[in-house]
Amino acid sequence: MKAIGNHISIIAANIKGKVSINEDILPHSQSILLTLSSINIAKTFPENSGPNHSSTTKSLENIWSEKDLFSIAMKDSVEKAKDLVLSSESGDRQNIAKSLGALGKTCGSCHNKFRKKKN
Amino acid sequence: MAPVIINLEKRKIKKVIILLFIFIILNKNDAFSTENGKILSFVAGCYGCHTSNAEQPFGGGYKIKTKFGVFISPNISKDSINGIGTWNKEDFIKAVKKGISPNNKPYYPAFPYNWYINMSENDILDIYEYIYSLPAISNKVTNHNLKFPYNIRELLWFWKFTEKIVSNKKYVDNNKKNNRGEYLVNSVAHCGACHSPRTFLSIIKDYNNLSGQKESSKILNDGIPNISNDINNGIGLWSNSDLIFFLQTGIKPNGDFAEEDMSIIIENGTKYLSPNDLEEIAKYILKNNN
Repeated sequence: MKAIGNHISIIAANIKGKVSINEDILPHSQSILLTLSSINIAKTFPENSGPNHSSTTKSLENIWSEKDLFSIAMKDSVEKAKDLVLSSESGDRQNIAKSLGALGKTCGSCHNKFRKKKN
Repeated sequence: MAPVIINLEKRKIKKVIILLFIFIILNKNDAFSTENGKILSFVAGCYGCHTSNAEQPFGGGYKIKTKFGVFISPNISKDSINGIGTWNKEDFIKAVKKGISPNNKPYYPAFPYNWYINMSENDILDIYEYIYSLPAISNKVTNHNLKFPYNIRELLWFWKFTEKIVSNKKYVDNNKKNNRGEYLVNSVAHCGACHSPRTFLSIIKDYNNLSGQKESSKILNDGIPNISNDINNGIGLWSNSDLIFFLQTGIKPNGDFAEEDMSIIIENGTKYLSPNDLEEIAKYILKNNN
């Protein structure tokens, strides 16, 4: 998940004009899509690895108790990542920003529901 | 006779044109104030806090969980029975700026009137007009569910008195030029309501301090981050564009996302701000020296 954050950070830096908009955006968008769509929930979040069994995990117990909801949230993120790739191919800065914002919303919403809050 | 009739007709046409012109101007002003009211109602959190169901805007029922118990936001739609439909403009201004209801009962400071006190009356009335331009919502909201002794509303008079003595409340000078960022941060968006440290009885000592709330002084059940321009503990390393992008999308410079309440505040509030207003907020937060 941290890798996805890094890719998002680079795309955001492009949109903000910190680096000039360039061919970096597309491979980063594709990497996000590849990473998200490769996540196998059963393998990434195996049974008995939740907070009741591990003190180091940031995951909340409802990843396992509300599996269906978690799965829907992950699928939604993959769809938004596909949109990001499409807009990155177009090279339109506004579209990319919009798609990145939409993806960010799904990521944030998932973190709010299924990840321990950072202090 | 004919020229007289033509002259009369011309006069009538002139009158109609003038009346039409006045009508258009008045309507234009109305549209402008309602639009301003709409954006401000989002940024000031009126919509976010008083809406629990998107199909019933301002119908109340939103739950705010605190260590004092659960506050349940009232219905502030124009419904005459369960909302604020019987309020006049003065009632609304008094409630927003002083935290006192039309029948002189104090509001709990979960309603951030201590920040709104610095809002211009024009902006407050724009919000009033906007809320009144929407349908009445008949949703009847239950009472707050607070622990003893916080459930005794009359004690709030004591809180208000103590707060007045303890706080060195910073008032936004609306006459000062170029204070748009300060006005938005310290009044409309009331950033300090969450990001200023609270002391005894959850009172904020310094309204201009955005250094966050630690575990011991929090009002909510979580720590609140430091958003001052401090390089080590705050967001002093963020650029203006980082903060603007964050307030539009919830995406932090490191690729992480706004959490919990802040994600809601962005979604229901700051993302509606104009690029100019966002720029002013960034300039104020990142360049002032708290």
